[in-house]
Amino acid sequence: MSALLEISGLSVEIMTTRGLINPVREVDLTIEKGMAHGLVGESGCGKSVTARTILGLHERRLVRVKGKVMFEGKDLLSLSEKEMEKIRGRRIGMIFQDPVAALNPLFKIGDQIAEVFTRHFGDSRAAAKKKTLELLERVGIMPAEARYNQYPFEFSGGMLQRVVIAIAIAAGPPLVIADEPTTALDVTIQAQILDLLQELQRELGLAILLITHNFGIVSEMCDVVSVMYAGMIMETGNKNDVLLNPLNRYSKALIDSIPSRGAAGQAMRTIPGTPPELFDHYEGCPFAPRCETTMGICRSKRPQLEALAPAYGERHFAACHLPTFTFEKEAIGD
Amino acid sequence: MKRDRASKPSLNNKTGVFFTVPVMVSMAILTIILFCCLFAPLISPYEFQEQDLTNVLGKPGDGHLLGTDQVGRDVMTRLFYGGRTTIAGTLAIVLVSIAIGLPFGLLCGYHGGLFDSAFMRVCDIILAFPPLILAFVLVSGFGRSMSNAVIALGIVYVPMLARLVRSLVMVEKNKTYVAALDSMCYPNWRIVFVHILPNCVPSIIVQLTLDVAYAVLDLAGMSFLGFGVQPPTADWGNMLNEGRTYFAQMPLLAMAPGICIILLSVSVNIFSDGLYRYLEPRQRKLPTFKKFDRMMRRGVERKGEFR
Amino acid sequence: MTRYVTGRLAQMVIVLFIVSLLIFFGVRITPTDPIASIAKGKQMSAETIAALKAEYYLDRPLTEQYAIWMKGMILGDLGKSYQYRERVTVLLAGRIGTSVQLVFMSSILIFLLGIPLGIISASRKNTMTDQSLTIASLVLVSSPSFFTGMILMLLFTLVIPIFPTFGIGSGFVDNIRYLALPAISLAAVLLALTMRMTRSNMVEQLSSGYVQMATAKGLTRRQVVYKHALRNSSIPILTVSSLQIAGMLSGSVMVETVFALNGIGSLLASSVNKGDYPVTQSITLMMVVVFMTFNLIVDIMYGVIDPRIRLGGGRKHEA
Repeated sequence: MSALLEISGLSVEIMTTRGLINPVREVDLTIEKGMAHGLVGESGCGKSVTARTILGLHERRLVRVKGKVMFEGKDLLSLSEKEMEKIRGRRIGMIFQDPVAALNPLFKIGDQIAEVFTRHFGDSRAAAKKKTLELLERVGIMPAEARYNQYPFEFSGGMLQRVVIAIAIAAGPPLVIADEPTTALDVTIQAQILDLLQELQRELGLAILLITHNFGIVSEMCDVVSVMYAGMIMETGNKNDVLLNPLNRYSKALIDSIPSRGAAGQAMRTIPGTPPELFDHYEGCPFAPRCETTMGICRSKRPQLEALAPAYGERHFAACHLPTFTFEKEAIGD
Repeated sequence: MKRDRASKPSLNNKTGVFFTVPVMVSMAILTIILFCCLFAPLISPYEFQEQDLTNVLGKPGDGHLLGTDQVGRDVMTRLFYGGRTTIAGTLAIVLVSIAIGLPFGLLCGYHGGLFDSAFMRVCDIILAFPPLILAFVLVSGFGRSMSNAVIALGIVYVPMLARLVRSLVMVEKNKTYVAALDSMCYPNWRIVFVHILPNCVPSIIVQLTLDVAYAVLDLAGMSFLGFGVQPPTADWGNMLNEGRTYFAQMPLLAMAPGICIILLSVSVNIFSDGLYRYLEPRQRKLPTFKKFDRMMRRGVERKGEFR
Repeated sequence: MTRYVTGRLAQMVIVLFIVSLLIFFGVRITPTDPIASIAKGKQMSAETIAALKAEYYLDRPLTEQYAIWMKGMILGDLGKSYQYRERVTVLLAGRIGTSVQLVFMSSILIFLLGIPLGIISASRKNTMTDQSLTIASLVLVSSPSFFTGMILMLLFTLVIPIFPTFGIGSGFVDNIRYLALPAISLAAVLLALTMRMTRSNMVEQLSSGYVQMATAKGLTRRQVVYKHALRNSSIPILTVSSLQIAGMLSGSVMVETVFALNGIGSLLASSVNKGDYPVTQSITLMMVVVFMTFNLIVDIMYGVIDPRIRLGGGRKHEA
């Protein structure tokens, strides 16, 4: 296995009308070839910003980025706008949260997909149309010929998301970033879209960076998962290792708060408090104010991602001064 | 929950101020204009009607800072007095439009129903006229005078304001707090004036300042065509028209009031824009990183606690 | 679509009827003696006055005068002017060409300069280019068209005398030369407004989701701006700037007065000043008809361009 995308020490500062925010703080993240990598966290924890930074979708004037994003031997952060244009869509595809907003209301569905072929491969209109029709059928939009000439307002949300997926995979990129691809959809449609994504991933050997706040989706779709909180990666590792043995206290709290079928009648577990504001500057662990078990160092020193317990899985890293196993005995005791 | 809040200054208290450089400049210009017009009798070097037929179309200087006009009146004095008329007229236009537009807008927005649709049809009819043409008709019927021009323009401005107020009220009306007040049996007038209106005021004020800028130009236009102020009273619009006759000999006669009109209108526009950005924080212009870092450094020096 | 258009037409007829009443009785609300403006201060015998009254239908009651005017309007006869003692139709026929050409030239300026400058300003948001364009547009918006015209006159008579500053030429090409300065002064304010409107609309489009998607597809900045964003903002831009062209009808009144052009606008100004009711009411009603027709055409065009409306059934949300 080799790394396809390697993010190291990524920090992002964005100028907003409310002040300079710091939504991503020294993030390290590695995505392996052909693997589905889930990035989980509450809203506003910097997941989406990370994704958009990879593709350079922020307005450059308003954003200050530090760190490295290595992709196919190039540091994406150092590329010019012109060079990035050749990577976007061609080498990295992107699926957006809201398909209704993501498609241009005045262009035919087919033309919006065909654009990728004409742009990246210089295809003729006819050739691009032929490829588009095949692609439409592949993502389950039928009859392709008739659907090609329709406009976005004639499609349902789920169908539109299929179109967005088609656009993302059209040029055959090795990596697709999916930013909450099912959040805006009905629950029944969500499963279909996830199935489609999973099929495509296996078939095309895609690596997917799946951004979500839903552990259910992660456990279904992903091979590797990273938990993010307040711009920091708190824990990363193989899906089962993290889900079954979360080392970081935040990951554990988050996983514990998943309502499970077996726990009917019990009160739902929640994490008290709210995530810190993105303007705030703090020493120490960002989760410390909400954490059940803290000690002095939690408030003064920022924890680093480390292989804390090799027994709980290889390549399982967590950033925590007081990992969950530390008080295992006491926990069992009561 | 302990959080180190004070350490990172946000833009709010640094750039979210109302007094940006352009706004300060525009306010300075407005203050000067207002001062000169308000105290025209005290600061003007000559009497308003004082003629000096021996010094007709005199060049600037020589006791007349901006020269003299076709009957030897001091141009600067007339500019001060003319400004009084222009500004008073402009404000009167806006007042007329508020006096009609605001109550009707509130009533239509809150009540809806037959009254609303009737008033909206009236607005449709006013809006069927190209801008100013209705004012021409009214002035033609009621006679050419300053007060008629003011009322006519005021009426022309009503639909825009009334529609704005109406749409603002309709948005507010459907908010939960109104339902809450309603369920507590608050009287309608109280809900409208004490609770809904204050929430609409910012947008209305921005629209009013914009209307002032338009009114300056429209009133000048009316006077220029001879539909507004009648001589010997002066405003900048009819001074421009009078100056036109002697444009070749002495361009200053027309240029001076023209430039005053532009200055007034530009300043009001900038002021209005500043107000809008202040009231709608999303519209604020963001500083560059260089500027921001400088701001932050100043913050360190002053507070000594940043990072 | 057909139903929509017929509905709008019916509504337009009703509004026009009310507007015509408003105009007719509006101009006559304070009684002045039309004979005085016909006579222009000359002494007249009682018989002449009676004859004049009969000629201008002034001996009839107002309601009947209105009916006569309306009937004439439909049959193409607008009555006789008091000040020129000539048929209004004849007066208009001699002047309409100038006004139409003036408005046409200004519209071309607006479309050819206002919209492209707005696009440039938006795609280079907050750069030096954008800021200088914004300041320039602010000054242009704040300068009354008649003053802009006077400055242009001064500039071109004293400094660079290429364009004639008064009157109108003979023949089409010559006309363009003669009408250049008036057209520029008429266009100035609306050009600046169009530019600002285009800019704000494009800025809004450029921050929308589909523009991000287009960027994420790998389209070049040029494709994103000109193919995607521009197409979507073209509908509101075209609508508003077309409405502004209709609004030039009132601006032409001042510009024609400044440049002493024999157009409809200057005729309206003099007829209001001289109390020439038949001319005032006919020109204002005509302008309302043109203005409303223009609005209607723009609304219909709107439907033709936007597939959501054209194909029906679609939600008409923000493009």
